[in-house]
Amino acid sequence: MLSVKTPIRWRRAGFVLVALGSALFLSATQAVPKVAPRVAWAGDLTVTFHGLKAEDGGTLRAALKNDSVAETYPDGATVQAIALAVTGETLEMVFPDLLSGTYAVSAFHDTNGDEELNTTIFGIPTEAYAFSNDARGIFGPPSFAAAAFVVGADDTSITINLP
Amino acid sequence: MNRVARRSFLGGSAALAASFACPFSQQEAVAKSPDWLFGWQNAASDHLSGQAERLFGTLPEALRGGTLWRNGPARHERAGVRYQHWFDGDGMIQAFRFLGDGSLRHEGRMIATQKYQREEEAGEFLYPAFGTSIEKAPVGSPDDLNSANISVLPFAGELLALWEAGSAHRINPQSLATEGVKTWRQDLLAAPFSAHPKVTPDGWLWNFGYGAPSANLLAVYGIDSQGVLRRFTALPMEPLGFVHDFAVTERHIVLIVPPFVIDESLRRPRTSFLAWHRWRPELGTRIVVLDKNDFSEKARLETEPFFFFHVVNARDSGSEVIVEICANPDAGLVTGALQHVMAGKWDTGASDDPRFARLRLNLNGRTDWQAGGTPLDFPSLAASEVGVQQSGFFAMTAGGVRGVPLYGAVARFSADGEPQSMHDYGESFLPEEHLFVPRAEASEPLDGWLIGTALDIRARRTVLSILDSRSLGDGPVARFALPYALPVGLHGKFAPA
Ligand SMILES: [Fe+2]
Repeated sequence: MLSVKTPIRWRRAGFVLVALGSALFLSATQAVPKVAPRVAWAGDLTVTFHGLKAEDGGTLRAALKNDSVAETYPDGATVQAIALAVTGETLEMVFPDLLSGTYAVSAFHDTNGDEELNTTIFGIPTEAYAFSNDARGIFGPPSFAAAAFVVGADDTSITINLP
Repeated sequence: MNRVARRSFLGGSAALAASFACPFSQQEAVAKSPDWLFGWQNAASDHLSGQAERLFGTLPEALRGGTLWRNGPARHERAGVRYQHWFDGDGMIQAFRFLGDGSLRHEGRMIATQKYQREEEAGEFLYPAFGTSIEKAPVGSPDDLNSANISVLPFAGELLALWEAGSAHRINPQSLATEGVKTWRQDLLAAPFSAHPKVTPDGWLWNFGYGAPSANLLAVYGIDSQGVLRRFTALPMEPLGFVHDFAVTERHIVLIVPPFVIDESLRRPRTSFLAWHRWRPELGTRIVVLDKNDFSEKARLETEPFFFFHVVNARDSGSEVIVEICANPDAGLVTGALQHVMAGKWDTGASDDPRFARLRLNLNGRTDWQAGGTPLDFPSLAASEVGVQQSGFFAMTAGGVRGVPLYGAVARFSADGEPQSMHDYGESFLPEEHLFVPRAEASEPLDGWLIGTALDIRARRTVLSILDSRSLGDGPVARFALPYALPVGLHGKFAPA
């Protein structure tokens, strides 16, 4: 399973949840230390998504971020991004070789393949989206703390339900 | 014939002027629950139905077969939690059906918004309201917290319950059941559609909406008489806050943005949408004038800072656009009295009064603002005069009684906002909006009836009165009483047979 270069940038401006395309990816990942001192390597993170609308086809795009961007979440550097074709109600994604630490996942169902979370001109998302812990925001995305989970020394599995 | 206690002020102009001088009630603190507070309780049930008792007079033939539709906040409390602002409560659609035999039947039903249904299921409030912070459920779209509680519009075969920050809701006019949200175009999902759309004499419907807090955009809609959206634009306006009304003329649309705007530094958890707003008079009141034909921007102007809920009317006059407004000097009414009324306090001062004001806009940039006229609000015009020079209009205004919220009287005003005649409901009534309905074979545009509801404070029930527009000072020509009290509401529309 390979990651695809599709990070997600969420803009905290009311309901606006904007995902930017791959142009930001390189600069974003460069901000993340590849080797962090005093941090142990853990295993893989497996995320199982439920509630996908298979009939819409398209791609589920997910971004993994760590607590270095907690203040600006869900903006800020993406650790890994994965995009997978939606073929059923459930989809499993693996983010490999993580450092132990605190992370959050955001995801959206890119039904039209434009690599963006589409919104109306008033910033209302028109594609399904979700965060780890099934966190939802009020007038915007949830905080990093609300979506955060810990990756320890071993493999980790979480579940995210799309609404 | 049981003529309910009432007073009329016709007679000397000095007496008339004096009675207009102090629109709202006194400022003294109310120690115990006032006798009118039942007007801000929940509706007695989610689905009300009752035959009205005719108290006096006869229902005019011309009104029979028609329906007065009304809307307003009607669910103020759940599970021991009481909303803190009048504008928070969930909407209830009200039908006052004027039957062919001269009787009146009322039906009211809570509007089944998504918010209402989810909170019914949960047994508690879950969503943020206009002036109360509740954060028990996520919000991804304004329609998640849409309370559909401001007004109602029968148009092009549909009955719409209107809010202002999100979609209108479609209501079945027979059953009053909620059929879903109205989406004017597929890409305008949950787009803001305000509660004061204007139907111009050509049959078109015009409306606007504010995108705040999600987007600093003003939506503008042009809808033909068949209900098809023909024109739409979204204009940037930053900063932005809630804006309740706008104006149309024969050639123009006028968007008026008072300097009561969202301050991002106030957007913190556990604060309400209203609390995010700050009065910033240094911004002035910003105005955008659009060409009605293609929605092109004709001018962006700035004038004195003022706040308003309602526009009286507007018109083109040579190279100018003139807008007449019920204007407040600041936003103190919405942050003060309209909040405190929920706690049984009516504490407005004279500076809170909306007063007749005239705004002259020269599209080359000059503006002229004349404020401080007669206190008035809830204006009602002849439909034939929307967007052109009115021959006069009707509005709620102060009566002689102190201590009761809102306005004690309904009056007829000249085109320049001078009071001409009025009916004062007296101390035992709390009148609501009154709507003008023209006579079919009218001798002049303002020849017809005024239809309005009022809370009968002593009898603890809602009454509906019909007044002759030519002789308001004589008091109602007919009055009906419902078997129950309705929560004090906001706006309505009369749909003739
Ligand atoms: Fe209004």
